[in-house]
Amino acid sequence: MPGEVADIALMTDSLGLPDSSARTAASSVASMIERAKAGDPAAFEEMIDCYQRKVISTAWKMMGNREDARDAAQEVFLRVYKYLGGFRADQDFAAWLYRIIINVCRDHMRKRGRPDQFTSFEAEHELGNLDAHASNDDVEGAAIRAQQHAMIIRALDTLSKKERAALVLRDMEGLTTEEVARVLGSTQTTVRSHISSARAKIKKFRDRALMGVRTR
Amino acid sequence: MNCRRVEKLIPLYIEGDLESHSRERIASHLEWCGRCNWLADEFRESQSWLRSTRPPEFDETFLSSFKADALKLIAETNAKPSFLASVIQQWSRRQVLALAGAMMIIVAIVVLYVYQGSTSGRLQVADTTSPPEIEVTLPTEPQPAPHKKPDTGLATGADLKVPQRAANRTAVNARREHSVVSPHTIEPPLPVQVSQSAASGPGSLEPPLEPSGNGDDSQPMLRIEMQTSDPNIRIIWFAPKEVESPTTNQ
Repeated sequence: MPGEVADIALMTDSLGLPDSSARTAASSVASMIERAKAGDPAAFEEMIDCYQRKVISTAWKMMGNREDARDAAQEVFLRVYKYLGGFRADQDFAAWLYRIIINVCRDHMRKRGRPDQFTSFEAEHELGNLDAHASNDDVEGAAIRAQQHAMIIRALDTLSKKERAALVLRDMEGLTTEEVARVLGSTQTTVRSHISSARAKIKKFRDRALMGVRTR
Repeated sequence: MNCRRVEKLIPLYIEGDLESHSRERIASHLEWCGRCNWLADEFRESQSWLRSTRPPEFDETFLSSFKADALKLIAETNAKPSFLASVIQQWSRRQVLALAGAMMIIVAIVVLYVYQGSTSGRLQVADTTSPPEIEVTLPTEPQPAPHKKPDTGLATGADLKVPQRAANRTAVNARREHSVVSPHTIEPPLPVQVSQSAASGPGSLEPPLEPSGNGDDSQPMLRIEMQTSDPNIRIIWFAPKEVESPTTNQ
């Protein structure tokens, strides 16, 4: 699966796993990038196949809903196409790609304004995220998960753009503080500060939400 | 390390984002402090709650339509590249920088030119407001021309060097008698200088300001100067104080 290769390559790039299969995947990805950079359209399509899941899911974590994530991901590939010529072989492709994702998502969030929508259970159901043929128990579980997801998205919406980017990359994408700093172009101290305040805000939001559930 | 300090660092401690030294100190604090320990557990639960959300599964249909749309978007953008993009693609960075520098210089020159033009225009406008446009024709006959303007406003723009009222009146009267006012020719400032002097002669352009002891012609004279639009032409009158009709020299 090209997506799995991309995942391994991203992990290899970002975490430096010394696995031989990971190294093989990384070298094949590197050659694919070189071919795409040279203007090979097939290589670029292959690149989309490899990274689209990763890009869409990261954009989804940033944007909070499927449609915005889809638009943002398309914009990401457009920018990759535009600026791939400036990408150097000695650069970290994962960090480069993450930087584009974060920048595109920030731009989209700025255009969209302060998000006030969250994905409801009905919306998820309409979009086909939930299994239409599930049993009643499954539907109930899916409804709970959708509600929980909506609550998490609302919690993420309480963060500033920088805090959100740092938190998504560190806690949801699993990058190290150093890698997050590299992606965001800031210092590790700044990233730690953003992560710390973001985690505190998320906890505060969750505490309030749980308190509200208990008092009902 | 006290509880207050630990509380601040717990969000980083629970995910291992602290240096080893701080981490050890907090760990030793948490061993005996129940309240901070409870807080750390709360943060851990919050983090696991945050991670419980999973992005939706993107099926093959969604991904294939996504890829098709992405490629279409790229093709559309590629079909009509912007001017800047085409320049950047074809030219090297140095060439682009050189072009940008040249453009900046050209813009600076244009701005400077426009600024100078507007400044001189402003000055001209300001000048036309103080004295009205006056064209002075020198009389060839001793009889002055009968053209008169009711109010030329020259008295307001006049630079009077001699404060005597009589001399001033004489100068203004003389000027009015010899002036032809034309509304179509706007001329820059017409400073009129009236000075009490003794004329050193009819051809003298710069007569002394003080009465000169020039033999019998020691009578004090009024010197009236008028600057025309041509900087090389200045109209000067010399008028004896007693005589009403002035003599004119150029």
